[in-house]
Amino acid sequence: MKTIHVLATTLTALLCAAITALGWAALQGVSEMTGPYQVVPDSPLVIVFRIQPLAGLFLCLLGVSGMLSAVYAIGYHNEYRARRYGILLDLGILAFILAMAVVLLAANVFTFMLGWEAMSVISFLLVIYDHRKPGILQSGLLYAIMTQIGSAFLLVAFLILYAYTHSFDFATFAAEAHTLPPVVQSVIFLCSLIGFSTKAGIMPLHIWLPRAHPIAPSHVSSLMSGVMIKTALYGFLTVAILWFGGGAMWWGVTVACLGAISAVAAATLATRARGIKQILAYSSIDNMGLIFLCTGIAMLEFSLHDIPLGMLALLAALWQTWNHGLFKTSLFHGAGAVLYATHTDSLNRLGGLARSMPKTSIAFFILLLSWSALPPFGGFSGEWVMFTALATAAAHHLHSPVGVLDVIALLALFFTAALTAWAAIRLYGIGFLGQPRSDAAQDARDVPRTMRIALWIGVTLTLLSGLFGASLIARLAKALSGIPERVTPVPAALTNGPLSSVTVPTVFAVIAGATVAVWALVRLAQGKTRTRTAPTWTCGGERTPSMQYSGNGLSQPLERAWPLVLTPLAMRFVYRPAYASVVHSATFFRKLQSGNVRSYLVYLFATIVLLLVIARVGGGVR
Amino acid sequence: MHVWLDIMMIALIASTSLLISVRFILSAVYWLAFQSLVLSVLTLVFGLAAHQSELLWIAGLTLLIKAMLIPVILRRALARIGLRRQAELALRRETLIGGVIAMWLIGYYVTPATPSLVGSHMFLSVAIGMLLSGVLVMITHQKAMMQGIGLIVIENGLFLAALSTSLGMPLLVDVGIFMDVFVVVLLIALLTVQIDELFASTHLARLRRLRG
Amino acid sequence: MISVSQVLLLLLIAPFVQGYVQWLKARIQGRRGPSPLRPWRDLRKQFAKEVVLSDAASWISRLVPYLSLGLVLGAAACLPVLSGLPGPLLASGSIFLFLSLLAFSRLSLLLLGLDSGSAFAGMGAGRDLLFSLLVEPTIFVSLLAVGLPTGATAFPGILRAATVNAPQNPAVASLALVAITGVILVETGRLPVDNPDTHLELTMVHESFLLESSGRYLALLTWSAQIRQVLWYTVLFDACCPWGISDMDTGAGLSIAILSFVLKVLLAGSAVALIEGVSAKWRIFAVPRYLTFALALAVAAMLADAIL
Repeated sequence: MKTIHVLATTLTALLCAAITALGWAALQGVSEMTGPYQVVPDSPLVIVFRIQPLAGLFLCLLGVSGMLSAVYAIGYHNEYRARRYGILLDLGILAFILAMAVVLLAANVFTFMLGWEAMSVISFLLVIYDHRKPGILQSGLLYAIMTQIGSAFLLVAFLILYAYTHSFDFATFAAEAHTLPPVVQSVIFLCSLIGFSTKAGIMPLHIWLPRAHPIAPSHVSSLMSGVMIKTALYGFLTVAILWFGGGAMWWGVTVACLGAISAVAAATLATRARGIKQILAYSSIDNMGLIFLCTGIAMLEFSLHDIPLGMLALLAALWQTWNHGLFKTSLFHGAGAVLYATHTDSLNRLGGLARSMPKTSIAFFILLLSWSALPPFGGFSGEWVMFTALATAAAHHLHSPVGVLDVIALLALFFTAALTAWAAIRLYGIGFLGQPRSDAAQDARDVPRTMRIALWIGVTLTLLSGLFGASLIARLAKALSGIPERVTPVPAALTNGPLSSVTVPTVFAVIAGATVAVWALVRLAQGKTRTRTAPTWTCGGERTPSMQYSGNGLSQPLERAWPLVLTPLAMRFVYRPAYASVVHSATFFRKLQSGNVRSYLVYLFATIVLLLVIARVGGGVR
Repeated sequence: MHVWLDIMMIALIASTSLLISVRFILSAVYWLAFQSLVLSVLTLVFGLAAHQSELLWIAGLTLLIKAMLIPVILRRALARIGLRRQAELALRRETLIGGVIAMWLIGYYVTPATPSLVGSHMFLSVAIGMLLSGVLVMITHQKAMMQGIGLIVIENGLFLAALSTSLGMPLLVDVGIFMDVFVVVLLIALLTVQIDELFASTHLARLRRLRG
Repeated sequence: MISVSQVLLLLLIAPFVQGYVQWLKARIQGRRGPSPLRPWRDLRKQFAKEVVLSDAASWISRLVPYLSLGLVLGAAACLPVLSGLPGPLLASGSIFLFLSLLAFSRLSLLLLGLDSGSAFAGMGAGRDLLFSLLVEPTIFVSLLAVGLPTGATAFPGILRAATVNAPQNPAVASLALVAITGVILVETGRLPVDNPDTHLELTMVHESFLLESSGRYLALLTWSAQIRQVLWYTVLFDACCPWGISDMDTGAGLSIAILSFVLKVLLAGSAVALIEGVSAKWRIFAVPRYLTFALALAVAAMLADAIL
């Protein structure tokens, strides 16, 4: 590695360490402001930073993911460094992390939009880094277009707020937002929902995600999936909960419904996707859907003045954010390792990697367990807290219509968990196990050590989150209780279940102990295992790798049982109609340009008469 | 005195209505000449009443160019393509006359009751009515020469508006406008002949074929 | 102490339950049937044999047999079998934890099957995933339906709710009973959903994962499947038929609990054998219809909670 690459990596690592420290400080309750720095003198373009408790979790996640990606990149960049301007990738990652930090620390509109746009542009450039390959530019452009649409809606929301509060400062927004007329509040809510859900990948604005994540370099995908979509969540939480305090009832219901639909639909699509990274991208949409589901329930509870229940749901959403960020980052690193070793991402061409890349495959297996929400890992802890939050809310509202929404949310959670397990088993079973299905998979060798180190650190982190999540959740709850008017202790429902610091470690100990005990007992009774190798049974005929099940085969039962899953809902019901109506109205308006001189004269005539009449009416009033 | 002004006003309205509802293009040219004649007399009266020698010159120029020269040019062009050429109307005659009256009413409605310098304020409303009628002529007639005639009617309306509110425009400006109109008419005359040679018709629909 | 003894009881009784069900089914079908003690003898035989591994197998095939048994034992520690007294895991014996542990064992079993690269296992995996997609929500909703009126999401609470509330709300209990019975048939791989006796391509789901196992690995996997069966019966008892489970630590209470548990298990086994004996196996894609019906029943139980 050349010096400049070492320098870039070190800079990134230092930046991430600083960000993590900032986040931890925020969680401890530190709340400080720096700025304002005038960019252009005597103008509203000032930069102000502020640490606040809500941002603390996201900052920690950013720092940790960034650090993991920086370590991972040392080995992963070998191919990219050989190119000209290979350093741009390292610098791009650094700038990307910096931009996300600016978004999380922003305290006024200008800083926020500066960071947001920088984040979007830099991530677009990083996504199309491999632009010489066919099809990459198109997906990248779709991403750029969708993200700009989202930013436009965000700007509209901020400008409306400015029009009513005459200030660009977030603190003023927080203080005065609930004094606005309800219609204006709703408009702001809808604009910010559209803006943030475009970036977060909530349906139906998600179409860029499964196309953009797979084509980016793996650690870029991991940062995007692990952190960038969470910054959108942070923005939405700030607007909806910090500024509006939950808003009207229908806000929470809308967000919860959108989240539930995203979760189930994306999980279904994940069981059918063809490439590893595509599966992981759909799974990101699905987890963001679950997180938004809990956020919606939290907003609903806040609007009903059920503060403890709302806090519980909010905690659930944030805790799942942390865990999902961790394991998704590492999962993408693992996918990158597979890509590095075999140069192919397609499930139907992989296989046998557990034998040719054993260390990576063990790490990936553990990450898979966390992804499928199995004990004792972080993903399990996240889902457990979500389940507890939703079940407690359902029990509380059992005899009211709100309870119906809670039950639907619970059903969405269960279905998503089952579908995620399906996607995970399919990914690992077809991609890593069995015999290699192509020469590329046959020739796979294990990846450089730095990549494996990054993977294993990610694995350890997710295990620690699962085992010792209790104290982290308590810290998070305490940090959030500082939000004005949200003073509440740690909800009691958690202390018995997921928050009991004894449960998960006990489970881990029991299972590990039982497994080891069984092994020891069997070994004691019967001695060492004597194994013999024989070919897999194929009814006595010749055996080829294509006799194994393929990725398509494992997703086929779902398609056969419910053919409905084959229809691309967003395309059919949202995008095609929108496109058709745009073309339709354009065709209609084209009739105005008839090329006939006389019709243009009619327009002229009508304009003149209108102007005269208006001048008369306006002048006549005086 | 005022009676004559009112009679001239009615003559202007009448000429516009008759112009818009002609059957032969030649008739429209004659009515246009008549209209310009009335306009020049009006200018003379205004000039004498306000003791402005400029207006006398302008009256003379109006008479010369608009009432004589331009109709002659148009008639000669028409002669090259056939004097009995008919005007093709998009709406019925009665409707068009009603349209002119409606334009006059619109003009009446939009004109504020400011005292004009000479005569009643009806002249401004008539002027606006003539302007809008000129546009109406261009919209509802489908022969190329009528478009030119409509243009001149618009210009007449503008001239009358300037006359009745501020006693005309500065001399040089008026001269410039006369030059403009003169050149436009020349062009129209020339092009109508050429179009007729090319298409054996001057109907506007054929003109779309001239597009690239 | 209680939880350890519970786990040991389940460990010892499980093969016998399997043997009993097989024997009774054979009798119903007019055969003499194998001895109910045969699973014990099978286990002993298999432990002594050597292991034959596929040449495509990786470390998964070596890990999963032990892991599967460990997981099932851990899950057993979460359930109140004999007594509702809290043990270290029972205190927070959340249904989420329990079902996640069982899901973990299912995942490891599926991966074991796919590890050998056998087409039979792939097929079985696809079918099992389809069933589990509907079974997981059903069991969650049924258990929640029993527990939610008292706000309980842990087994001790559900047990209490079942003991106290159920007589007042028989609709909920009966709907949950039918739904959980449906789930049991799927999860234990019984007719009419899955045929546990054959190894034919078209008729096996759970058996396909064990196709490539042998020796002690097969013994461990079979044993954990048998324990899982008894665990599901216990879930049914906890949620719908909690009679006999004691709240006290006394010797008398415990012996009544053991007796009632054994009796209930035998009853449940008989019911399952009866259902198996009279049913033919359904077409695979007819099963989701039946599972959706079970899910609808569970949701109806939840609605009954809300309305009544």
